Formats: sequence, C-alpha cells, structure tokens
Amino acid sequence: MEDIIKRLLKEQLAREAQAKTRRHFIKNCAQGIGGLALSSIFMGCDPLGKPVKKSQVAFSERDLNPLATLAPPFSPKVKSVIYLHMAGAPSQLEMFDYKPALHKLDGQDCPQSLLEGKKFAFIKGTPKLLGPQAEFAQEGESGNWVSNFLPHFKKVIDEVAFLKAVNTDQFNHGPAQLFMHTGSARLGRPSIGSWATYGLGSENQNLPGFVVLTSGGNAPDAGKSVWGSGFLPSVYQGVQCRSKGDPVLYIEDPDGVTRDLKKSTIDAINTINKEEYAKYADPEILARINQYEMAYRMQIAVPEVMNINNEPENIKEMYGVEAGKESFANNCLLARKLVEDGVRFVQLFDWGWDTHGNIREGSVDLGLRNKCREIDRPIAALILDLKQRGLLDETLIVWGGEFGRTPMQENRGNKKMEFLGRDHHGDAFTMWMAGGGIKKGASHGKTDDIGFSGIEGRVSVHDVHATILHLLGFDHEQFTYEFQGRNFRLTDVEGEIIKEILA
Amino acid sequence: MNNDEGGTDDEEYRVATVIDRVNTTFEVWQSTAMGCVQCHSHPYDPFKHEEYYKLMAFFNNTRDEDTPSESPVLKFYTPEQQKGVDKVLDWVAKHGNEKQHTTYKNFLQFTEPVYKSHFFKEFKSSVYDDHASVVFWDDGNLIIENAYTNNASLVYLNYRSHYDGTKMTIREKDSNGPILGEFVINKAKKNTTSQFPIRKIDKKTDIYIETQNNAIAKEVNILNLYWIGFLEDMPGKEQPGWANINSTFIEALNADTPTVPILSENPDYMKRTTQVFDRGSFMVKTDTVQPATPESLNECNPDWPKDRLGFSKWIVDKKNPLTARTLVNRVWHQIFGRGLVSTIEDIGSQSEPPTHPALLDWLALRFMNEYNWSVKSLIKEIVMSGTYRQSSESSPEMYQIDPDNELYARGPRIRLGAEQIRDQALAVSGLLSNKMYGPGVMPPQPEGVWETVYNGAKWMESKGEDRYRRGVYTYLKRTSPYPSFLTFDAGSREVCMIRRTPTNTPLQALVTLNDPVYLEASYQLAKNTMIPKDVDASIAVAYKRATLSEIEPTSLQTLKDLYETSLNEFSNNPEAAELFLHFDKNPTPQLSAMTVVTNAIMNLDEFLTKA
Repeated sequence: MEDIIKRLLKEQLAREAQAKTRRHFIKNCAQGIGGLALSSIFMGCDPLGKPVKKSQVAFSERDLNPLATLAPPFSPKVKSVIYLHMAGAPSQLEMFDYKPALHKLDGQDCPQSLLEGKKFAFIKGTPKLLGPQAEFAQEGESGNWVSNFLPHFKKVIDEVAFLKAVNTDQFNHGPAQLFMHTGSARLGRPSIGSWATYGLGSENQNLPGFVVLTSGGNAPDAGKSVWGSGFLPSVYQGVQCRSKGDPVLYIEDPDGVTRDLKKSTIDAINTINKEEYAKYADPEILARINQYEMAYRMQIAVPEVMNINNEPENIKEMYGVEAGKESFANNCLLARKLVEDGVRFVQLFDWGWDTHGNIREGSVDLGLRNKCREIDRPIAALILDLKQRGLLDETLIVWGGEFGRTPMQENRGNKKMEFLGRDHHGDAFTMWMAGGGIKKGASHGKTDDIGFSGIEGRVSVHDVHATILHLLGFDHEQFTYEFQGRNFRLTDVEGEIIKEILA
Repeated sequence: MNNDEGGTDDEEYRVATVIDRVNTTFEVWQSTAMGCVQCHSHPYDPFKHEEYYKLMAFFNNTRDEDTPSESPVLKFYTPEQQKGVDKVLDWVAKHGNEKQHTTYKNFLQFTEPVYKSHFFKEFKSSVYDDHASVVFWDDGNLIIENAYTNNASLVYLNYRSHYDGTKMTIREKDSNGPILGEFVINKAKKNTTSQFPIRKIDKKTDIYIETQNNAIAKEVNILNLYWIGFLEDMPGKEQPGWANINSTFIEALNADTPTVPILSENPDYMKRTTQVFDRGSFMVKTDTVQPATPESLNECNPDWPKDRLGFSKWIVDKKNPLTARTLVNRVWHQIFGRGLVSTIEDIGSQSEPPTHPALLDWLALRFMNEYNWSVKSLIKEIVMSGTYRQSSESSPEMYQIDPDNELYARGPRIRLGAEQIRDQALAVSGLLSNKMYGPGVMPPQPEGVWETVYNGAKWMESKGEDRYRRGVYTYLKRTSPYPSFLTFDAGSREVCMIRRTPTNTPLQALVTLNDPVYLEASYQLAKNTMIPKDVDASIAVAYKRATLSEIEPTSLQTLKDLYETSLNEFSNNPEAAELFLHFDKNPTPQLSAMTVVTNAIMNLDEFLTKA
C-alpha cells in the first residue's frame, strides 16, 4: 500500500510539472492564434466598437469555431475523403475476386474443414459451394480482374488499388458496420469521419465538415451511430444531407420569412449579443455571434451545393443522375461537389447489397447485377470527374462493404433456397481505394482458390483505418482522445499502414 | 445493448452488458474509470485486475441473457387482471410460507426463473431458431444441462403449437433415462403458457425433452418452445378451491400486459460462476472469483448479501469515501458548469485536482450526515451561497486571469442543456405541459429523420399537451435520437456519458431560428405578451418573461427596429404573414412582426445561457 502511495505521489509531481509546461505552451500559442482569428472576425463586426488588443484574449480559434481548419501533424496526401459503403455487404466473388476453381466445384459439398469452428449468420449443416455468377476479364494496363457486372468500372481500373484479403471478425450487419466506421463493433466510438473533422476541421465554414448521403431506400442497419461522434464533441458528428425535405435539418427559413428579414433578425440578435459580451466578456458569446453569421451563410451555401440541377448536361449524363430522386448516382455527383467546396469527409451509404438468395432482389446473379448497374457508371464518373478537375490527387475514395460473402450457397434453415445467394462472410473480402497517395493499378492480398480465406496480404479493418488516417496526415497511434480515463484511438491497439497500396 | 441478429453469441453480448453495468456503476457512483481495470491492474488508481472481476461477480447473476424478448420483463396488469393476481397471492400467503409467496409473486410479475431455449443443447430434429425458440420436428429432441426441477409436480412450458396431438416426453438424463412426464400438447396459435404433470425429483440433472407427432410429415415445424420452468408446487393443494385458484394463476400467466425490462437475481441453483478474463478477453477465462469490493476502498460488511443489493449498501455506506463526493461534485457541476473536480467522471489520481478540496469534503459530509442524502437540500445549500449568488458579469481581464472561473470571483455562466433549451422555450411561451409520468411522447420532428430498419417502428406524432411535455419525456432511440437534442450536445446515449461536451455550432442556431417547435413557442410568447398599440411595452414584457430581467434601452431599440422592419415586410405582403403564422386563423402583420421579435429573443445568448 505504501508503495502505491509513493508511486502515485511521484507520478503526481511529474504530472504537475508536465501540466505546467503544457498549459504555458498552450496559453502562448492560443494568444497568437486567438488574436489572429479575432482580428479577422472583428474586421466584419467590431463588437466593442474599439480595437481589441491581442493580449486581452486568451482563447484559440477552435473556441470560436470548433470546425476551424487545423493542419495535420504530418504532411497529408489528401484533403478530403469520399467513402462509398455498400450496406448489406456486396459479393466480392461476383465483382472483383475471380475464382475459376469455384466454378469447377459448383454444387459440391463444402469441405468440413472449412466449416469447423466457424459461425455463419444463416448457413446450417453442410452447404454447397456456389460458382461465380458473373464473367470476369482482366482490364486496363494493370490487368486487374473485374466482372461483367461492372462494365464502366474497367475505364477507371488503373486508378484503383485493390485490397483482396480484407477481414473482419464481425458477421452481422449492425456490429460489422460499426466496426468498419468506428473501429469497434459496439456502440459508443467516434466514426472515422468524426475523427477526421475533429483532427482537421473543415475547409469550408459555410458547409458541415462531415456530410452523409444515403441511397437505396434505407439507412444502414447500425443507424446514425455509423456517423456518430461517440465521445468526441457532437459538432464532429456526420450531418446527414437529405434528398427530400430540408437538405440539412432546419436549413430553410420558415415560410413567409424572406432572406432580408432573416438577415435583419440575425443582425438584431448579434447586436444585442455584442452588448452582452461587453458585460460578461465570455468568449462563448463571441463564438455564438460567429455561429449565427455562419448559420446565415450556411443557409445559402447548403442548398446551393445540394442542387445538382445546374450541373451541365454532359456531367449529369456522365453520372447518370436522376433528377429529384434519391439515388447513388446523384449522391456521387453531390460528393464531388461537396469535396470541391472543401467538405472534409463525405460518407455515402447505399443500401440493398445483402444477397442471401431469399428474394429475387437479394440474389447474387439477378439482384446483384441490378445493384452493380446502379453504382457502376456513377463510380467511374466520380473518379473521372475528380480527375478532370485536378481533385483526384487531393481526394481519397474508399469503396467497400461491412464484410464479404461466402463461397458457399446459403441454405437458410438447412434447405435449398429459391434464388442463388451467399451468406455473410468476414474472413476475406475486397475493398479498394483510389486517389491521392494511392498506388494506381495495385492489387494487394490474395485469397485461396475458392475465396474463403486470405492467404497473402491479409489486412484488417484497423489496417484500413490506419491507412486512411496516414493519407490524411495522421499517425494513427498518436492521434488520440482522452475518455473514461484513457486515450482512445480509432485503431484501438492495432492497425498497420498498408504500404503496398501507397504510391 | 441486446443484439439478436442471426448467429450472434448471446453469451458474448450478455457479458458485454454486465461489463457495461460495472463500468457505468463506477462512473456514476464512484467517479472512477473502472473500465481500465478490465484488461489490467489500474496504472494509477489502486485497483487490481482481479478486483474488476470480483466486482463483476456482483452483477453477473441476473436473469437477463441477451434474448430478443429482453426478459425478464415486469408485467403491468390492469386492475381487473390484478384482482386475479391478488387472489392467487392471497391463497399462497394463507396456505404457504413467505418464501413460497415470494416465488409466486416473482413468477407472476416477471416470469422468472425459467430455462430459456437458447440454453438448450444437443438438438436432434430440432433447432434453435432466430434467438427466440426451439423448433421441434417429429421425433425432435434436446437436452437441458444441469437443470433443477425444484421437486415440482408440474412443469411450465411457454410455446406455440401448430398441430393437435403432439406427444411430449420428459426424461431424466438422456433418451434412455427414467421418464419424468408424458403428456399431449394441442394446437395453440398464440404464445401460450401451460402446466403439465411431472414426477417429483429433488436434484440437479440433465433433462431430456422429446416430441412426437406421427400424423405430421417429417421436417415440419410442429412446436416452438420458448422456455421451460419448474416452479415449486402451489401450497394448499388439498384445500377446497385450489383448482379454481390454479386456473386463475394460469390465466394471469397468459394475460396480455404492457411490460418493461428489469433485472432480477438468479436463484442459487442457477448461479453463474465468474472468472477473470485474461487481458480483458471474454474468450480467455482464468481464475474463478467471488463477489468482493476493492481492497483500497471501504470494507464490505460481511452481513450484506453478495449480490447487487449488498453492493448498493456498500455504495451508500458512510464509510465509502467516493459516493458523497461524487454526487456533490456532480450537483456542483450542474449548478456552476464545472465541478470542484472538473473531471466529474473521474476523481481518482489522474483527474484534475479539486480546486477546493476542503469545500468538497465539507459538502460531502453535510450531504450524508446532515441532509441524509437529500439532493434537494444540497442544491438549496449551494444556490443560497454567496458564491452562487454573485453576479456573472466579468471583464476581459477577469477572463484572462481565470478563464474557467476556478476562483469563483464571479457567478457561473453556462449554456443550457439540450432539453432545458426546449423546455424553457415552451415554458416562457406558456406551452409547457406539467403532466408527469407515463410513457415517452413523440413531439414533432421533421419527416424522414426517424429511420429504423427491419422493425418498422413509427414516429407517431403526439397529440394535444403531449407535444409540449418536458424534454425528459421525449421518446429516445439510440440509433435515431431526437434531432434537436443531438444538435445541442445531448449525445445519443450509446454509452454512459457523465459529462456532455457543450459545443457552439451554426446547426444550433438553425434549430432555434427555424425549427417549427421554436417558431410556435415564439408565436405564443408574442401573442401572450402583446399590448395593443404599445410596441415598447410589448417587447419589454416579452423580454422580461424570457430572461427574467429588464430590457436595456439599447436592446429595446434594436428589437424595435427589427419589429418595424418586419412590420413593414408583412404589411406590404399579407400573404407572407399567412404563410408564416399558418397556425393562426387571422394572422395580423403586427403579430407576425412581434413573432419575429420574440424568435430573436429566444435566440439571444442571454436566453440560451444561464447567468
């Protein structure tokens, strides 16, 4: 007991010494930054009617605006991320992971050795192997494989780096989606977009820093938690921009209120708040004045960026947009517009990839082909459009699902099913990345002859996260937030950068 | 926390729930980050790795097991149904002992203890399906390991039966064991609880269950079995009227009632052992431990039971050094916006040191000894102090010297919480309902925000005064939280959040400016405070009602200018007034303009902030 007390005392002293230096350092910095920020804000509004001395304020730009741009600790390869998530888990075996051997084994019993100790969501007893339901070809200079379900994708295949042997330990949609986006299968951790906006702020103060767009008729199973901020301040959560109703909640003025009247209202609020500041000197009031001006500008900027009607016809055609609808194509075009305008993280969820074979839409031949049709042209367009604007080098595109699908045909309830389907499978699945810092045309990792397990270049969800953070300019082991008495990381205690796909 | 998707491991999620309870309990009552100790001894605070699991042992013996029904659930009987329940319990009290009375009361209230179907093993022509029931085919059988029949002469089954004439056989041990019971189950489409006779045995044994229905084809679902229970026999069997009481009992067990999930303790014969998880992994279990509290804290009285009740006695024992400090610190935080220890979730060796340690201790002792744990008295003590009653006015110099107000040279100044902001808007406008208790309500929220995949639950907008109840009554769903609360930092309650991090964002401004809830509140405030032909007085009254202070002449002028601008717009464009105040039958330009003004008042820093 005495030992503990001695140790604690010693550590406490060390900590105090450290805290002093740290506080000293922050205070000095904050004065510098705060002064800068204030001068730029006061140029427009001059709250006290007199110049403010820099030495009078001791708060940082972040105090005034939690989304103020911050430079990452290391030199970043990209400024923004567009993350395309196929919710429900797409079949790698019909899209990118070509397994001719599986053709030959089609209809045969799955070997017991593969089933031992494994858990599946629905497969019972001994399932049969199911050959690929698509035709494959090598495309581009890279000669990477892609199926005939994705005819447009071959145009951009040389821009992309594949991860063929990603694995996850989760085999249900909700937990697996949470794991894929927060690094933990259970609720409560910040999503990767929240980490990015917490670490970097936003480049455009008139738009949310982290935008979420959904398509396919449903939100992801894990709900809004997949873009939640967990224990990070809620300002870093994803803002869902909607195709119907207000694109951002409460962005539209009430009926009958003109822009001029809203401006007069905000001016009146801010005039009184400035008097309030003179009385209380609370920097939160300055932040509020700032936020109300931003809200006014956001009311113009958001509907503008969310409107795709004014895009040229050839661009609409290129993506295959459907005016007035909620579609993946529209969302891809919006994603381009958002990163073009400086949004840090754009998250797209497309629902409807859960191809169990229980219904026609959910079959790996018919249903999957239709889903592929919905994303094929838009994804190719997104990559080409970013490229022609010179934005691809500063944007990272990530594509994937929450897991992959089994080489076996699903036999729910130990019975043959009406359509061809595959069960959830986390041992090996495909993801790809494209954009700044990515090795074009690369393909990393290999699965066994039937695509059941990764045999080379296996990477985990944490590895994918470490790589994304690396490209944004962070060391995933140093990028932490203290909560419940310890430092938390997106990558928990794991994760290695996947160097093989970096340029 | 429950997860019942296909293939998930119920035990894994049950354990995760228990771990969450340990961590949450320590954060809430002891301001201690016990989560650290799950994987290793605490690096700073004096808690050892195995002590975590000794604490977990207090929590590890509840009946909940990650089932989709969320059982155990407490039933709420109608007064009519309750009459039957009371009749049964009166009978048991009259003819039996206190223990039997408790057994029957518990069974009627929350239907425990029972063996749930996910606990069954060795399925043959039967299968555990979708986390809820076992499906039996003809000649289907299974084993319940190490079960205790309570020396009962009746077995209780909860099932749906799809055909008449299914014969069930229950045996000791296995398919060759001595028969305990043989009976026929007939068709019951609805989920049903019935009793069947068995032979009495007074020991723990494996139980074998088999179904036969030769009239039905193979591999057809003949019966879904949800749980099986062995309840000590109802006393007074030889007395006249027993049969009547027994059928009243069965009726009550099958009564359709609203329910709410609760915790209940395992009986001795169902107790789980608790083991240390090596490095926190649920897959790697090592030493078995017994319930015990950490050595470095107050002693746990050996007379207290080794369950959650005993643990709660330890928490509120006056010798516990953390409980009263934790609560006092939290109340101080709520009142001043900052705790005496600013890290209210952690008052251990790694927390911020207390700014006023003697004050913290003094209040903690008074809270326990003089106020007898009355939070109300504690709040009164704090808010009547000179420190609290100081003006919040400040100067840039004061802010620079003491930005966090650790020296209390001024009164507190904090932004209201998410629920408070809405409550206050409703209160000053006269809309707030004082109705208390009952289920959550669904006040308006924009269309398309509420999204729940699979279960099809709907956001049914509440009617009448239920639209205007305090924020604590707003229906919460973790995967789709109430949007304006989320915007004002309420969090989505996925894990215990001891301290909300206040943020200041444009999205918050959009809520109070444009959310119809605030528009309606502004309208009501304007309507209730309008004094005909006296704009100055109207604004001053509205301002005072909203902020409880007199309006400054400069602010009055600013708002009056806004009124004139608005009046001008609405007078020139009467249609705009109709659109703006669409809920008013005859919206005048004056009322519309005053609504713009009251909306501005509800967006002032002074309104959103407690100072």
